[in-house]
Amino acid sequence: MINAIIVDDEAHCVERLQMLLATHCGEKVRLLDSCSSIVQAEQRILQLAPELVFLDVQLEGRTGFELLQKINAPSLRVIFTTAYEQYAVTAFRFSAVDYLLKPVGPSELVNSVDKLISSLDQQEAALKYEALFHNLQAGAGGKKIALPTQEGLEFVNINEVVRCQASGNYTQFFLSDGRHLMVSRTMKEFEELLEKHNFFRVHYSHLVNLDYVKKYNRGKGGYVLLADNSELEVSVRRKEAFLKKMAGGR
Amino acid sequence: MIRSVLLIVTILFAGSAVAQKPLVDSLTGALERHRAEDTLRLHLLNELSFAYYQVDPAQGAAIAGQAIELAGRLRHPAMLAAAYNNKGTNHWAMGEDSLARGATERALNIHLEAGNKLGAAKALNNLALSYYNMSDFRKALEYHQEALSLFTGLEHYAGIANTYSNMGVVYLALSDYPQALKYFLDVARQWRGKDSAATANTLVNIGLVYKNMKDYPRALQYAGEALSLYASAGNRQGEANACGNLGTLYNEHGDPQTALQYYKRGLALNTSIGNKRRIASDLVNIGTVYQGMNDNSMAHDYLERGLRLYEQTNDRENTVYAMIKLAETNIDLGNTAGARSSLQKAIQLASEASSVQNQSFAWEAMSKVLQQSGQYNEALQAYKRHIALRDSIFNSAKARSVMHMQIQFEFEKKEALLKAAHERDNALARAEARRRKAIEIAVLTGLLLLIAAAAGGYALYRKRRDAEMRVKMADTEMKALRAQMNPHFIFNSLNAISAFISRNEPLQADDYLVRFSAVIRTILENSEFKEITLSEDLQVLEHYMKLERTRLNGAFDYTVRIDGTIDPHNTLVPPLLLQPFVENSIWHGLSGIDRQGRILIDISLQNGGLVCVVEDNGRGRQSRQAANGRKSMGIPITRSRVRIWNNSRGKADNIIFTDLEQGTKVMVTIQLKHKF
Repeated sequence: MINAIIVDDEAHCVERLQMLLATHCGEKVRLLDSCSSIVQAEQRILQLAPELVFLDVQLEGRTGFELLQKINAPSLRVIFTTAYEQYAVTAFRFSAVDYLLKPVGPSELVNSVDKLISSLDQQEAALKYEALFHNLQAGAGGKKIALPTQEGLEFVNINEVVRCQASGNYTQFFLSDGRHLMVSRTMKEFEELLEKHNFFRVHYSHLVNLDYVKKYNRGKGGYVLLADNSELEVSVRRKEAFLKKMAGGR
Repeated sequence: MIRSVLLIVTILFAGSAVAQKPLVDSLTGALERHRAEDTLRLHLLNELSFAYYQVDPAQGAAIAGQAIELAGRLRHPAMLAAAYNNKGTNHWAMGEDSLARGATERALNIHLEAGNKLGAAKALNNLALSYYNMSDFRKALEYHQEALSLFTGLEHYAGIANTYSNMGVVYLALSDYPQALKYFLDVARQWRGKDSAATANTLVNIGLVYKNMKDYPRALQYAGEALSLYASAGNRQGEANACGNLGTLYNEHGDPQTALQYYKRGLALNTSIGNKRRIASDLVNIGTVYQGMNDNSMAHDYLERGLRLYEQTNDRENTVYAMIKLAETNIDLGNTAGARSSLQKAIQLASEASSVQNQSFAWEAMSKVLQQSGQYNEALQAYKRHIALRDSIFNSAKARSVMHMQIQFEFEKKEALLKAAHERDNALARAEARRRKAIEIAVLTGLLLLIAAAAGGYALYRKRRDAEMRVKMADTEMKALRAQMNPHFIFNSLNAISAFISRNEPLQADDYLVRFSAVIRTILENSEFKEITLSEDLQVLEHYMKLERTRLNGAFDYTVRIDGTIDPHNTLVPPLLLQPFVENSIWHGLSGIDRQGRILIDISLQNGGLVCVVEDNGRGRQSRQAANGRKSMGIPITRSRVRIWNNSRGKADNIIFTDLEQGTKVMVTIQLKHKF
């Protein structure tokens, strides 16, 4: 049994979550309380010492992140809830932090709770939150991305990523310090996350950080030379978009 | 019979012409023992990268990269240039022409800076070869010409001969047989008696010219002469290649028995050498001969062995060719299912490699398969595609001959200009006054030309600006139309929820709402883009159909079918392309019918367009309009979107409704666009 509280300023969201927890997670989660403001939540967390908080991102004009920064409870685990805050969702995906989209569906809730119970690795969780806060404060280039490698999650600054190379269901990351990381996700997922941060897919199997492009050589598609001296063919159909992006800067 | 005759194109600066696995292994061993970063190691790296180009060019390029790095540190320009040259050769072997050309140009520049004329000439020759591979024959001839003048200045006869030989190959590709023959005969005269290997190479090429002119007796004579030269010189690879050439010639000449003898002799030689590609080539050729003799089981056996070997090399073109040939024997042996699946794979590979010829062959075979399984309509379609592809090859051959005429014209123009200059020099000696006048005319002409160029430039600029504006307008219109799609979808779904509530079914309403919000979220995300991949759009469509199926208590089933030749991750469509038609089927076609509803989504390729079909078994369009007068808003919007996507004007019909005996079929045809 995990002890949990809900923090949300909209009563109908609290009610929905209470109902869903009672019907679908009755044997796994014991709900201690629910709070509608950051101040109230801070007190209740200190008093009740829950292990899990369902935390809304938007709270009376402030954010749930503020609450998390204020309290010092290293063993506390969080599942964020949000309706359509794209910036927050991107931040969660970058940091591999758990989140639920509202309206919350029963199967998604059960999945999240099960995942949380099966991986109670506190150290990793702490790293995830640290990366999340870092990303929320950092500018475009300074963001950190969580990469699931064989040894576990690795957090990498995206401006240290020179390029990614697809190999089947895996993606190989080439970092500026010369390290390579094999990550068990398809490149498509990283393309979605990184293309807003000056990355561009020049080829079916190459995603490139444009900050590291040293030179472009014309040709049918041409090829690029990167700072680590790798040379990558630009596919013919990507050439025009690539040149446009390079010319337009970021 | 396409690729059996070997084109001997000499790449200069070769360590050894036949690089094999054992060589790679011994060099790798030597490299491991010699770790000191000196010129010896550099030399080994260079040798190894060259040796790799027939075995594993990706690895070869990587090794060349190491050599470049080391040569840079040791400040050894000659070896640096060699390393770049090897890098180019390896990229060339992988078909990465842009990278190959870039590396060779680097080698050329290093030679030019160091004043190394011989090196520069060799690099120019290699550059010409890479242009030849990209079918830019004019540039290839230009670079060969430059190399030739350098070699001539150096009185380097081997270089001159090799360049002549390569130029002959270019003219051969341009189907200018007299010119090609002239160059080859020149070379042969030079080498005869001095270098038997080079003479034999040239004889092979001459044989090829005669073969292309369909003069088989002469072709056989030269190929035979080449064979005996190789054999007496102990050049086993040359001997094996010549056997292959003779086999092809005899087979084309209608003598399969002799052809088999030569192919088998070549096979034995190649097997003892261990050259995988050539073994595979021999096996496939033998299989093809047996196929021509209607001995299908022998053919099948050889082709299968050949294919398996080709698959171990990275020679895609020939792998696909072998695959097609094997499928053909499978057809004749009655294994239709096997033939069909391997042809689908072959078509996909060939279209990925943009190999028109292989695609044409594969579709021809596919039409046979389809005919055998009684799919006459599809068979006809496949045959039509085969013809279309074959015609496009014929057209490109025509384009080549036009280009040849152009080159000829420019050459004559240059000659005429040179002549004119010469005469003017004479005139200059006689009359100074005339010269001044000539200058005046030249200046005037120059001025006129300048004005004309400026006017032309402006016209070009305006045309481009107008085109850009049209693209922008189409983009804006597309955006507005996309924006209209979403509210339309949202309100229909809200209606559904309201129906649950009024029927007092809160649990169902809630379940629907959760799923609906997931679908709308994806739709909103996708609609930011003007194009998304087919797989993404079909995913949303499936979520949508699942949602509606739940709402209607499983009153209908759906199937999504994608033709095997389409890569849904690399094919682009406008977001929400089919959703309005599916919605139409569900809300109007299938609602209230007394049988189990069925929706079929079928995506296929036809005449180079992407054809998307939505078919239902509901009430037809007539009775549906009578049932409820409402008309779906999404369809006219999609009609406009498709028109913009296809860039079609006027009344071109991209969306066709057909009434079936039971139900309706909608066919949406959009222009095929790939992401990569």
